[in-house]
Amino acid sequence: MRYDNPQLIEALAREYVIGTLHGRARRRFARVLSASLVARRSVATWERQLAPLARCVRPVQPPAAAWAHIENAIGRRTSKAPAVFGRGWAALAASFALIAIVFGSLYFTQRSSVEQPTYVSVVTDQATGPVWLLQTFAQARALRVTTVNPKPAPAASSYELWMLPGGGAQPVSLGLLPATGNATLALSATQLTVLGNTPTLAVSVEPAGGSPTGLPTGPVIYTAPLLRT
Amino acid sequence: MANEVTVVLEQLIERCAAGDASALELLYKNTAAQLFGVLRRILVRQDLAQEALQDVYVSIWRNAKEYRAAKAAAFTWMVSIARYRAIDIKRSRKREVLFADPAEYVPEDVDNVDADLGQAADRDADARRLRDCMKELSQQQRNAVCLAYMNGLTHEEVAGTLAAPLGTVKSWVRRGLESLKRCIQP
Repeated sequence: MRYDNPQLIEALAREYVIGTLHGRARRRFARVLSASLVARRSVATWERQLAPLARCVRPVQPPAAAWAHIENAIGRRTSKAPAVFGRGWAALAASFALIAIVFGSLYFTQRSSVEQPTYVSVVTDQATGPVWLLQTFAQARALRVTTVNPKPAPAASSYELWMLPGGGAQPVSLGLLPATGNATLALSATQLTVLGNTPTLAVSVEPAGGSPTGLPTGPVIYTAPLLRT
Repeated sequence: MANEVTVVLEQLIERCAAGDASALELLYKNTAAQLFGVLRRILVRQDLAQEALQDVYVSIWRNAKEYRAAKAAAFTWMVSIARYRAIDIKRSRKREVLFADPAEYVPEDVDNVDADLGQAADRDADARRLRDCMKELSQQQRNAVCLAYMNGLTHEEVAGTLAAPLGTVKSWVRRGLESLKRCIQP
């Protein structure tokens, strides 16, 4: 079969995307795709045009075991510990050390009247190590931010901290992070409730003063697991 | 206009390309239910859909580097990977899937697509265009296109489901898609 006929390519692309091209013809066209830019463009256009139909399919919660299989297949060891993989070993070790210090100090302050943090999180840069230590005090409704390694914000930008509640829920802002020094962010009762169901925090780069829309508008540069003490 | 969720998904795929497994976990948390719905619709059987879902995210992880070159929206890219995987599995295990449970297999909500597209259209220009253009198809063309795309049915299976001759069904699908194309990109 000749694949230099644009009308033929278009017809095959259409059937390939909708799925009615099958058997040997499908496999053959898949090989044509890797060699032909025209065919790839045609397929991409159909994929984009029809994708909204896939959004009409009702979401179904997958079995919990599926994620464990995926982690295994990509060579990631555990699901509960924060990011154990790749080149981030040094940064990771630094995060653990920092968490150990926090928990260590908790041990010593246990008998004092000082409130212990309810949640702890370390925002870590793969290259430079921990950037921010975040301690949440539920009773005082405060989130204490300690800058470990100052991270200068790009011109006219701020770093904004978000909760990612999971389950497809939208991110919720916790406020702006300082580029240097320490800060305490006040938490509302609503924010605290959401925090209780949040596995992960994220940091995005926003226009100075924070996101104008209430949702992240700039790139998410870090995520960090939220640990309950 | 890209919505915020799309922006985040695209960032996550880029981070997968850089080897950041926590990004894949976030991507999974935010998209697995939608993709699993798509896979279940095509494969019907829970165990086959789970197997496919695992393949899909491993494939997303391994191919994340190619995402930028694909120049597609994150959802389009991911859902295409999922659909092609499901179609491959369905075609290679045809008998098992097809006769899993005929009651479940016959789609009951093809007619609801209009309403669902309407909802998606509020956020998404592509969905808006598709909704408007779907209206120009005949009812039979629309059903045939939806059964092929959403349920992953072959021409023969669409013909069986709609109790129509094979040749007629083939032309419903072809003419339906040609008319969509003319309408979307005049």
